[in-house]
Amino acid sequence: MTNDDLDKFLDSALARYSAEDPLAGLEQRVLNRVGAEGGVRRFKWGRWALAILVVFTITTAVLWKRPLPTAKLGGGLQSARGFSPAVANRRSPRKRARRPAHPPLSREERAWLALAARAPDQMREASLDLKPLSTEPIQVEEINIEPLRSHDANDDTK
Amino acid sequence: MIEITEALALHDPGSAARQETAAREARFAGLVERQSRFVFRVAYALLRNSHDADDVVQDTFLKLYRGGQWDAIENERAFLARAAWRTAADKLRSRGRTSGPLDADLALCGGANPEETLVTADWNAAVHRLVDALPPKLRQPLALSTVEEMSSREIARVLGVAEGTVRTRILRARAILKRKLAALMEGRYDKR
Repeated sequence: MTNDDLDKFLDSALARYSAEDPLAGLEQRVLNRVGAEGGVRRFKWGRWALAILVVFTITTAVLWKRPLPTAKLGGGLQSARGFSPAVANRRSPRKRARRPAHPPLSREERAWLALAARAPDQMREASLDLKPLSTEPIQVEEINIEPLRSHDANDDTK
Repeated sequence: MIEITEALALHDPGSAARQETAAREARFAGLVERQSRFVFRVAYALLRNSHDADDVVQDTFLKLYRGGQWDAIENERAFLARAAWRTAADKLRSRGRTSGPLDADLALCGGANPEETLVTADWNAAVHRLVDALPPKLRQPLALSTVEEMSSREIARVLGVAEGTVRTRILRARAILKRKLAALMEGRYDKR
């Protein structure tokens, strides 16, 4: 077989390499599948967006209806000690059960509470008597220092 | 008639949207009608399996539809060839198929003796197995060149290589095939 014959034979064989025909109805299968699944992704995205919106709405509603922590005696103290309701809520229920909701009052705080309960009027008057801190500038009197005398001046006096 | 339709569409925006959707669907169906066979052959050139190639055609058009940019394709044939080739390559990877085992195939066809192969094997099938046994870098451009007269430029775009590289690889592939074919015909095929 000559080189040209080999070339022709090769061309003829290669022409059939990918000349396979698909099964009948390929176009319809494609269109059916596109019709069935073509919009699925968009629908999924829509479903996710809806789910996120619902979760966000419920969370917002729950947080909105929740009573805010009221200001109590010792509240400042709590915050000063690093107590945070948000952090406390994030703790597990078991830990919350183990730990008290608020730190116990100190001795001084309990004494103040007892005094306020016993004599509330006096406490109020006492608090009214407290003068606010003055914001006036401090007045300092002028200081006069006499100049020092030299030895020569002493000699002259002699 | 067109004026009446436009006037109706102006009065009913929902109807206009429906008409647009229907027209778009019709254009997509036309694209499928025009190119599905071509896409099948591109996929088949790589996969060498009708069912897998069928799946690739469906996957390719489905991706295209979901992507939504199919309406703005300039060269749909080149675009589809590239998309189908990528999808077929992914399928091939997932299938874990390697290039065709020529020696085993020949042994199945006609035994270890090349003369028996000459007598019993279909020559086209023998050439196809020789093509399958080529290294992928040579086989892929050659396989694509057999698909409905794909030009070197189109093949280069599909494979992402230079046009000159495609031509060189096809020539090298053909040279190897000719050498092996001649050896087969003379009954002195070596397993190189």
